[in-house]
Amino acid sequence: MSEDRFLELAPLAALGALDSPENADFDAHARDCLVCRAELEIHERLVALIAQSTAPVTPSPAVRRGVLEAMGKPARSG
Amino acid sequence: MPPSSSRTLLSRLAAGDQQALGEFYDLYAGLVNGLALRILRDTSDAEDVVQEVFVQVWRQASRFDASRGTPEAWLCTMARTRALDRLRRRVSRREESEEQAPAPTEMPRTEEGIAVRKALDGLSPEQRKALELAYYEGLTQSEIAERLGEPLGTVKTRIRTAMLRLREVLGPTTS
Repeated sequence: MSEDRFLELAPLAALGALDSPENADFDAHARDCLVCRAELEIHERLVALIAQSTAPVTPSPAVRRGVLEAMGKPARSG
Repeated sequence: MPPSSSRTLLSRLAAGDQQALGEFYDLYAGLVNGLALRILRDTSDAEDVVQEVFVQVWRQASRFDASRGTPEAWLCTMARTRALDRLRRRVSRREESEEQAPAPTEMPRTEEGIAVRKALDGLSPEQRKALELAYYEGLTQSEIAERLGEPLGTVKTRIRTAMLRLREVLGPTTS
């Protein structure tokens, strides 16, 4: 079944690891397929969890100052 | 840190509370910087990403949707996207060396982070390598196959198996 083929692509799609034609095919299919969309969302959450396994590294104090200063400025348009 | 307090901070941010940004930054700047540094391997580029991400948090806090995930996941997704964009621009300027990043020795601080690290440690070295090339270098499956000199089908299977294994191990947090 082609449904199974798309389901198998969900982990790769969540990682952004599909190549372009296949990626577009998957997106088009997942727009209309609840099962594949749910599968994609599960894998997107796993992908976000991978980030949290990275050890934290405190940035230099200048970065904090830069963020707080930028906050006072109006947002750039666009 | 319980998620409720980071969510409270996000609602304060969405309401325009400037003090909340400093608090939110102190909670998560290390997480964002650690991830950006792992992807970019350059302190200054990573810190640029940190600044961009927190400015984006300030401007878009009202768009955070708690039903779609944790604040940590939201931040990490923004950080990874920005860091990979930067990495691609850099790679298009000059060839990236294929030097491998040293395995991180420091452990993540959150319980969830530690669980994920354990799950990753449980993968075979080949599965983990393929997953890391996709995650930290933003390579597609065919680029990974080329880099490793392996058939595309093998790479696909490794990544899929790795993700399904993570899902088994981390199951409860992803339901």
